Amino acid sequence: MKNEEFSDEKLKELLKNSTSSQSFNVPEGYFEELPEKVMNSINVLPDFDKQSAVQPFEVPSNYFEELPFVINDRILSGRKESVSIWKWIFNPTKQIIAALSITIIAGSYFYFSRTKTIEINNSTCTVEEISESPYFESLSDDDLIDFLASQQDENTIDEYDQYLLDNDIDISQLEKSL
Amino acid sequence: MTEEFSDQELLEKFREEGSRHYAFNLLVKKYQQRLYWHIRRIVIDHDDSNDIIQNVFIKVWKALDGFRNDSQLYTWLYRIATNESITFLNSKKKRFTISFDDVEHELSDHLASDPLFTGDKIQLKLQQAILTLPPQQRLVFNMKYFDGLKYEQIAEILNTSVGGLKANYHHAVKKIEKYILGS
Repeated sequence: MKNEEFSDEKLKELLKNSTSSQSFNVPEGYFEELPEKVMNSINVLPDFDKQSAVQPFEVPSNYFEELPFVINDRILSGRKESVSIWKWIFNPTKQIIAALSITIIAGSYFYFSRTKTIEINNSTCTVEEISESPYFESLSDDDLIDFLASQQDENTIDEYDQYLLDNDIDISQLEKSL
Repeated sequence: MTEEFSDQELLEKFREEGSRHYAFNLLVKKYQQRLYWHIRRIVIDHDDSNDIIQNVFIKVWKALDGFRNDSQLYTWLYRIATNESITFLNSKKKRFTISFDDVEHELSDHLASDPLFTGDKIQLKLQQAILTLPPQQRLVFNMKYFDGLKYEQIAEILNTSVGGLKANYHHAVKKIEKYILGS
């Protein structure tokens, strides 16, 4: 309240020298013409309380006479299409799609079922690595003997003799121990 | 001739295999105009309305077997027509990546040059004013003002409350008055 009183006082002080009571003006004859203008505007408004709605849209001639036939045709054609497998099969678009699908399926089958050749790089490994290998342990003695027998040639026999001589091993003792 | 059959009689005839097509044809004749004008006022263009009304009746043909008398037939038909029309406008919005307001703006422009729109300047202004309304207010205004449906019927179609619909209609009328008087 104090603020309002203060504002009022200040406003009176500011306006005390003003001679005009109205700062805004209107065109000449404005208020004489206003009622008529307002009434004209109101008269063009539709009466929203009455069912006086005018239909401003039109349709092509005979539209509503033909529409039931169009709908009936669509229903019948939809039904025929659903039972006609031959129509589906002989449809060019469907044939192209089917041919593409078969090509893709056949191509995929050949691609994924082809025989693969895997090259293994030769690499050297030490005797220790071989002896510690789990594969080596799984081999039976018979298999090893058979393998060594098949690999024997003149050179390897000479190497065995030389090994026995170098290590002073008596072959008869060796046979006994076996 | 069509008006001689009630909805119930049409449904009974439709459920008999021998008179199925005949009954559906009568149903189309009975409701085609009401549904068409309802759709036309939403999507404005005749060609679009023609596509939608056909799709509506195809859907009705497929679903009528499952129709139970929980609601009245015409409210069920109106609901399908309303949903199809709104779906159409939404797909148009997505197809051209424009907002719903822009779709209405485009429809408003289309009205002025449409040879199948025969309304005078006031009618054009009224339709353009309706196009500025939010979708729900627009539907309610059209169904109340043009179709003469009662609030209870509109509530059943739009699955909403009568109180909300009255508020929608009131706001719609105020906005339309403001639009017409302001232009």
